Amino acid sequence: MKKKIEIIICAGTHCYLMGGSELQLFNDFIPAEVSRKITLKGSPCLDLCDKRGEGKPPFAMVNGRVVSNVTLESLLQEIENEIRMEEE
Amino acid sequence: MSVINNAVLIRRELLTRVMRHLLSGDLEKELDRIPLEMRPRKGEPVRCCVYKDRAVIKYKLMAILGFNIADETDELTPLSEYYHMAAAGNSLREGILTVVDEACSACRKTSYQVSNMCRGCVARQCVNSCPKNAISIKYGKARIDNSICVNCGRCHQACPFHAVVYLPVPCEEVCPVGAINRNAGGVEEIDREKCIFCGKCINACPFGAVMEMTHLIHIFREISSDREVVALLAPAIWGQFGTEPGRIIQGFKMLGFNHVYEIASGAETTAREEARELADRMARGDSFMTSSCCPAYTNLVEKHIPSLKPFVSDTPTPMHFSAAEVRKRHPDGCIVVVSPCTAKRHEAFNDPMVDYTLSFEEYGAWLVASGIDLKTVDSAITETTPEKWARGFAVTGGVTNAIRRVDNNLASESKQIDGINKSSVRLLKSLPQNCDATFVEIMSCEGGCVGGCNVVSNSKIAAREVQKLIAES
Repeated sequence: MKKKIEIIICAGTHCYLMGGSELQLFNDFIPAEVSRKITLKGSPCLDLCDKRGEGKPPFAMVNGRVVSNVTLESLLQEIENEIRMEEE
Repeated sequence: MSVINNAVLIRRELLTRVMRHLLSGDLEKELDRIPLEMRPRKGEPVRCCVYKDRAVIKYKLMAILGFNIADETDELTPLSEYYHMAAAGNSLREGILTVVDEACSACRKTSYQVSNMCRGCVARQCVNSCPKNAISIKYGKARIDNSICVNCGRCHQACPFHAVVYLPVPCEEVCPVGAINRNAGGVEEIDREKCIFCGKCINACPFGAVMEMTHLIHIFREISSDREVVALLAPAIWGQFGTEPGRIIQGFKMLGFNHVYEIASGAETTAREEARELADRMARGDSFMTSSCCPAYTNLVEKHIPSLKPFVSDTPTPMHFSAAEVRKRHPDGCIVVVSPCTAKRHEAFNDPMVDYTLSFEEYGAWLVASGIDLKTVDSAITETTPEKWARGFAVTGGVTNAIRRVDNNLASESKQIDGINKSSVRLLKSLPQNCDATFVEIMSCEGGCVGGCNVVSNSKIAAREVQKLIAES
């Protein structure tokens, strides 16, 4: 079986306050065919908010790659890009 | 419902910046620099230019310091001066809400307009549908004479090309009582006589022009003093931070609050008294009774629906009962009510048992500024553990359930009004003549307090979390 794409959503208080709370709905939001291809987990603060150059919270990681300012829509988009890259 | 948009995020960033400087003790020195830091001269403006952005940020900070922007007498007064005045304790205002006139985009009056999608068709349903003859055809396109138009919307429905658009004024659109209106200069103004402090205009304004006047400076000063400071938490908080209650309580302790209690303890008393009152009222032949815990609703009745007043429960709110109880334990303490509600701020302002109010959002900003991640802190316990069902007051239906818990025979024919808006106001006005229930629960915010105007979480998630907590017993 193909390796699943690993998604980590930062659920630290900073990310939560700056819109990350919405990401708790990610499971309800994504289509089943995408859902099958990923593993999703929450994490305490990933310590990205204090690092310059990493962008603004909320943060998530897609296969180890940092995604900043993430919304339900942008996270789905990132995952779809990742799927496409893996298929090529 | 989602509460996240860029205007909300800017407010949260401002709150966090203010708290950071308060904590490091240099707020007075750095306050006037915040607008420059957020909108540097070479940065991207959000509005027309960075200077306008900075002016808006300055006035928003003024509200965060606790001031009504309309009270400005000298435009040159720096924010540091306002901080001085706030620190001296003279900024608490009853009004709760303030309009950042600099941010208000002075939306044009609510109207229907013909867009360039109009094809100048032959059928001309728009012209025929208009009861006021306000539509004519000029240069091959329909045109609405807004001096005659009464905004009935028939042309909007009639046009087969969807060429007639509705241009709302978002704050006026959500205000259930017509309390926010354009002044002579076209800028919105809140009529304090009409306002019920529901706070719906705050997040409705796409320009973020309505702000709450916060008590942050005052609460922080109390925390820094020797006085005991007590946090009194509204039950909706359990759905806000994606973590267990013990950690949310621990967060308050880490910020320097000496004690943490729950308003839900007072909700037990409210439910018991309200159940008894309902039984009494039914026995004396009243046709129905309404809940009284939502302050936006009681303000609505007080100011706009006097005929409903005899049907509103006289039982005090959970906040009042719990604050009175805490006051007994800590007679000299400073009691801070933590809630997601602007109307609660108003109620607390007028309740001698309560000193200050803090919103969920402000608590979150304070945590972030302190570098506290609730996900990783130890779990504390509350000093009182209320009945689980009493926490249900945070979600629509919770009050009715609580009353049924007290007496299963009561409130058997109940009705819930989930959200005060223009149409539910009409319904409420008709209740004294025509009510098919014996108990009516009214919540100003959709979904209940979890849908409040300064919550952190999506109300769907928050309601789920609160329900989960009630179910685990």
